[in-house]
Amino acid sequence: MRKYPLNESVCGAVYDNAPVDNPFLAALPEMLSRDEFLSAIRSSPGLPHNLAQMTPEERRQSLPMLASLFVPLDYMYAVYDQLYRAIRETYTTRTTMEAIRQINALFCGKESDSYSTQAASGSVLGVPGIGKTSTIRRALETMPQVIEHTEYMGQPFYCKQVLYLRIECPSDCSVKTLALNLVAALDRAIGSNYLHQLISLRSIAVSAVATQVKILCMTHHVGLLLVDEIQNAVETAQRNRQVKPLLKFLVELTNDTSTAVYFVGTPVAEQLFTSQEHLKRRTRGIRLLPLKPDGTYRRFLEQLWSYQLTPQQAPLTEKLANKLFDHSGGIPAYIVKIFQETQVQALLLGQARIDERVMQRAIDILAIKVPKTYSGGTYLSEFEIDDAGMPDVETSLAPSPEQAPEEASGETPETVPRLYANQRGRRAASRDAQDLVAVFAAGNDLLHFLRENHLLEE
Amino acid sequence: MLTFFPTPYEDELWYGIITRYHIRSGNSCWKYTIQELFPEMKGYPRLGDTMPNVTMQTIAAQLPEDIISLRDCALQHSLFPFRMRFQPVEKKREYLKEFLNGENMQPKFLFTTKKNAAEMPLRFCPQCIAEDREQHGEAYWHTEHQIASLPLCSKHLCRLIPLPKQNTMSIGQQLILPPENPPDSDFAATETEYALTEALHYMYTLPYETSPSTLSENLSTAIENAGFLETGSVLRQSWDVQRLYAALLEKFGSDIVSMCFGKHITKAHARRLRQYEIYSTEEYALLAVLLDLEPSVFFSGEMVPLELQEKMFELERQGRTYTKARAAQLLGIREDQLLPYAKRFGIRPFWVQSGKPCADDKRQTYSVEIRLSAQEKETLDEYMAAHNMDVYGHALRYFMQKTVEDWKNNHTNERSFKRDEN
Repeated sequence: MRKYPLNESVCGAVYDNAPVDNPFLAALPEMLSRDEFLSAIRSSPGLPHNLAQMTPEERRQSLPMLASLFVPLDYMYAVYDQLYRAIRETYTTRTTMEAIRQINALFCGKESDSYSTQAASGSVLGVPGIGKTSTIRRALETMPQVIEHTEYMGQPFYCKQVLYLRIECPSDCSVKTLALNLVAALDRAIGSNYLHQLISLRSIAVSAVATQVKILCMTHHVGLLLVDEIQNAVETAQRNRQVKPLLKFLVELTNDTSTAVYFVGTPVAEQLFTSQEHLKRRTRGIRLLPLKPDGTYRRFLEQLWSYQLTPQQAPLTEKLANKLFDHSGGIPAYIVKIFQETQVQALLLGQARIDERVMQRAIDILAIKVPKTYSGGTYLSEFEIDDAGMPDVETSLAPSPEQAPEEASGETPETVPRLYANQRGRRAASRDAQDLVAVFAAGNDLLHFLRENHLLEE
Repeated sequence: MLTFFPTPYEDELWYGIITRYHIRSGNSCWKYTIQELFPEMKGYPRLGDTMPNVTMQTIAAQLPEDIISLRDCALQHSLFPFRMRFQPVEKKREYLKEFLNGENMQPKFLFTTKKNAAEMPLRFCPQCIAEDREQHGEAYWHTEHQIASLPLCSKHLCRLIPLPKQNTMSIGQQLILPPENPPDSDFAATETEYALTEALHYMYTLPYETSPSTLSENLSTAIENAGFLETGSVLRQSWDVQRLYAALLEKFGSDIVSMCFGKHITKAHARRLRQYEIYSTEEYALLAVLLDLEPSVFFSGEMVPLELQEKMFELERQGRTYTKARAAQLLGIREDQLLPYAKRFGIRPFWVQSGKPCADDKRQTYSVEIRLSAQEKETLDEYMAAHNMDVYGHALRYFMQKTVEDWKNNHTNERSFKRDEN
């Protein structure tokens, strides 16, 4: 029996065993097991029931349904696990009394004498199109965004606990815009009207807005703040060096309000994160690389393949799969895009089903350019979650050889070349055993080899 | 609909709850909080009132059901129960009902002086501030501390400190928080201050429906016991208001007395006080302390004994004969008051009734002379002094009557016994 129904963004609080003075921790939703989670986030739109009778135009019109297809992968559970724990850490750290003390300290503009430890912070970076944002959105949607408290321990207790807020990093990197984005997100979540109020005060100082935002985060017990598109900060930083106040504000927010902050963006943000030691410490987390051309990729394709709206279904051949991988770089968004465009082209050309030639045409039209190298991280295929027979799931994230050194040293990771399904370059020439290149490649001592074969004049 | 509202603390003033809302809202200015809470209200709402008013109803309407109980707001977060203490129970019920039905409560008759009706500065106890911060993480305004005549914190018995007014704006127009660094507590209080604190605290903490008992005239009795009746006013029992006011001034000082009673006490005011028709709780608390009365006597059916009556009964019961002057002296009243008091209390005069016509057989026309030795006289003097007798004749008559009466009683009993045997 689940504590809160799925896909309900606002729920009345249900309390379980927790410290008496911490209703927010007591009201948290339970952590889902891998299987529960993956089934909760899966989205498989149904095919049109009259597909066989549909005209090519109707088929093309129906193709956008692929946008709502969501294939769950193991790495998503790792992301969910991290976010859930960050939220829980916030409420474990910040008891009701601590929150009151911190709010009063913020209001009076003095240092809080709170003993609460720092809240969780981190980042999820990944190649564009890998599915970070939709994964995070779906992961968060498995829990209510707002828990409404009206009574606790027989006493009236009215407040709305906001488990998470998702905002986008403003393109101008301004603290005020970020703060207003945050307030707007809060208004959307709880139905308040803070943004209107703030905007009506034209001359309000940035510091005043920042303080109000901090207080509001405490008042509404925000558990996690997700700042998406954090790479915007880097791009602005490169232009006008405005990034520092924004990051300073976010760091202050974590420190002053014990609210967990997670950054989401592309690997471009990593250079900003590693530029300063305190930022580096606060921004560690999952770095996502695309799919590998392996079983995970094939399972992904198998689920996608059933969404062919052409009159005939093309079988998933090795050639098609490899071609799709090589041109999409294993990036799920590109895979779906090429698959969709291939069907469009097939329908436009009047072909009954997709084939390699149509796919190539679609690839040419889309002009997708996959980066040749990535900064380090973990391939989507490498996340393994063991859920067999465990009531409480533990996430075991097998670090890839590329990720391990980064995690250990905290230094900027080495770049990783992109992978291909079809081997690239010239085919290796066949060489006989006496070939010096073959001997060298085998790591043997060339002088010794030459002497042994009497090929050396001495 | 409001998205949050602070849970009121025990004995928290309504204004304090709103200040805590303001802090949590993060608003940079008090004005914005007022606009947020009272969007329809023109001007500043009367948040600084210690009586329940429309602000409570406005906020309760913006919260889900059962979050804020208007009844609790009125009874636990305002001075409503305290100010209504001396109202009859029916009136109390009626006022509360009217408030719960949405009427704005501002009964003017509860304020007897203009000074009392004016907005008083908020007051705090440094000990409570420290304790609240420890227990709740923040300090708040206590309702009880806002009773203007309460000199000490009833919990810590240290002096309550008024927060100096920074400007002429009313409390509701501005944000006033308990001081960040309150001054040290002042525990040096007088006995009168302790007694007044105890009396006011008692009246503050009684259940709402407790009203003064109309069965007893305890206040009137206490006034009489303390000698504050006008001279000669034995039957009307008029209070000597000038002496009473002077005594109050001497006991409490002019500030508090003029705040509660005004510049003087009129006879009409005294009459209404006596009949519990004055609804200022503070006036009764001051009188209780002045008259050394337990505040509970106003509310219980228990009667305060009238000392003069008790003494008169005692003298009568003893059956000794006193001269009028001696009896008046023993009772602490004038000779001419003896008879009116005796009539009021229903006591037969026990002093010598010289000149009063009586039946022939009762007329005392015989005289007896006895001679005493020095030792006998000394013993008689001792006895008379011990029993407040000043005339030998009265003492001897008392001995004679008592002995003869005893003998008569015994003789009568013996004869009736023998008759029964036969």
